[in-house]
Amino acid sequence: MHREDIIQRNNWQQKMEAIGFDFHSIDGRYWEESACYCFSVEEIDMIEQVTAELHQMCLEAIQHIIINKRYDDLAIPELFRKHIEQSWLKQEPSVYGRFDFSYDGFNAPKLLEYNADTPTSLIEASIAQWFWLEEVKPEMDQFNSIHEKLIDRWKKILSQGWIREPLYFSCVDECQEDYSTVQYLRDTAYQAGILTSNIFIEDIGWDAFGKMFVDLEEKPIYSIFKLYPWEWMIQEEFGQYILSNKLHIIEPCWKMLLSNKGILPILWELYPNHPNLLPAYFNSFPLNMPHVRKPLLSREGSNISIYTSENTLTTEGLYGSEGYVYQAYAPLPKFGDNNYPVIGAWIIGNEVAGLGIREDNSLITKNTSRFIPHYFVPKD
Amino acid sequence: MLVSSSRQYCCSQYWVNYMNRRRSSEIKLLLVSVFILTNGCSGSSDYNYVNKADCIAEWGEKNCERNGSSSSGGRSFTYRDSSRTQRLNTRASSVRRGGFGSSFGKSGGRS
Repeated sequence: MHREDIIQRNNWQQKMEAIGFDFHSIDGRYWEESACYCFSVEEIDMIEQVTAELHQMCLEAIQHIIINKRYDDLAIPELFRKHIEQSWLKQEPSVYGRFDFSYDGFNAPKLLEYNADTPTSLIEASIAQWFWLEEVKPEMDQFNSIHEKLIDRWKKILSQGWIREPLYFSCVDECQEDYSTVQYLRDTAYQAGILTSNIFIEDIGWDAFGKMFVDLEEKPIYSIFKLYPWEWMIQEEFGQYILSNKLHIIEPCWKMLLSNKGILPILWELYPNHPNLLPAYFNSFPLNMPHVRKPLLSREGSNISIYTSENTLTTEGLYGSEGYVYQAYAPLPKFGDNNYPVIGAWIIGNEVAGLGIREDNSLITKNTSRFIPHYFVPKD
Repeated sequence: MLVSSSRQYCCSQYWVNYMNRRRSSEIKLLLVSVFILTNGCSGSSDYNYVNKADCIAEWGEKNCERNGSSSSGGRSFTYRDSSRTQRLNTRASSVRRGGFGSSFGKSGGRS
């Protein structure tokens, strides 16, 4: 694994906008193609194998949480625990998730967190870097079959009878990135043959008479994909109605257990000393070594604190009242002058589908961190 | 013959490599390019579609109108967002809205 400085394309902005990636320069410079990361086939194979294994371990961990009622550890509201269990027992289908790793090309990748409920940087990983590769390094390969796996996944979910059409796609009304991501996902569902529709999360109606969620035409909503955190939905005014309604939501309710940072200490309990896990605990870190404090429900790098013998690095935010986990500190590798990448490995359904790389000038990856394309050298 | 078999090896090897690629063989976008050219999620009021069926499927027939004249090549269909506001304001029913979405703003919901 190494980082290459390369010449960016002329008019790359227009090329990105043409494929729906219209937030390429959000917060200044987000898509960054003046550099890229190069991997060997062996490294790609290893990342794939590690991701597949961790995915299986996470599914085992869900079983453990449910059987042992570990909901208090994850600050899951009592009202929704049965709903989570039912969602899991019914095997409600998941579409996607993204594991984030610290990886330097030499040592084993270490799991930092699992973005299981509302993962983004999807357009970037699935299509933006694919088109970049086709134009810039067509003789090389890329670990990225996210697009076709998404279409296949939607086909399977449809064929199994989970969707009562139209399938609504929803996000908040004030975020360009979310809207574009949802429209991309909707496109893949459309290509899978699903009749789709669109509704902003704020526009979802509750018909108190019919006891159902409705769209702007007051037609019933039976199936919905939401790019909106489960933990937010269940605490908002309409959250209670999810319990008494047959609305089918993607990602499923059981994903709340995996997107919660509490999954990290539970994985460490179940698989102690696993080479791809970092020691992690609830409440406090027992060892006198550098560690990271993460809120159970933090997103986009908010309220993260890194404690080392030299100093403490903290990000701001409004999370943490729900509790924290404490994870051993695995410093992100440094490439070039001041570039710290995080490897995001995508799961579509139950398959590992590709990777995307976010990079920051600090040791904490945030919503403003750059996206850098990657390639690997195919074997002869 | 030698040249031929060499080429055959070359081509079949190329094919094997091609088939073993780890990236998607092709990427088509059917909806996104149409949406994104004209719509953002902030402050947008119109939603454009290349065909009327897609517009109707989303917003209903009465809310979709043709853009441009056929003589000038205009063939897209637009849903005008003003009708959304109108519906929200004028319908008296048992439907309430706004029960989701209030958490957004304290932080982004992405991860």
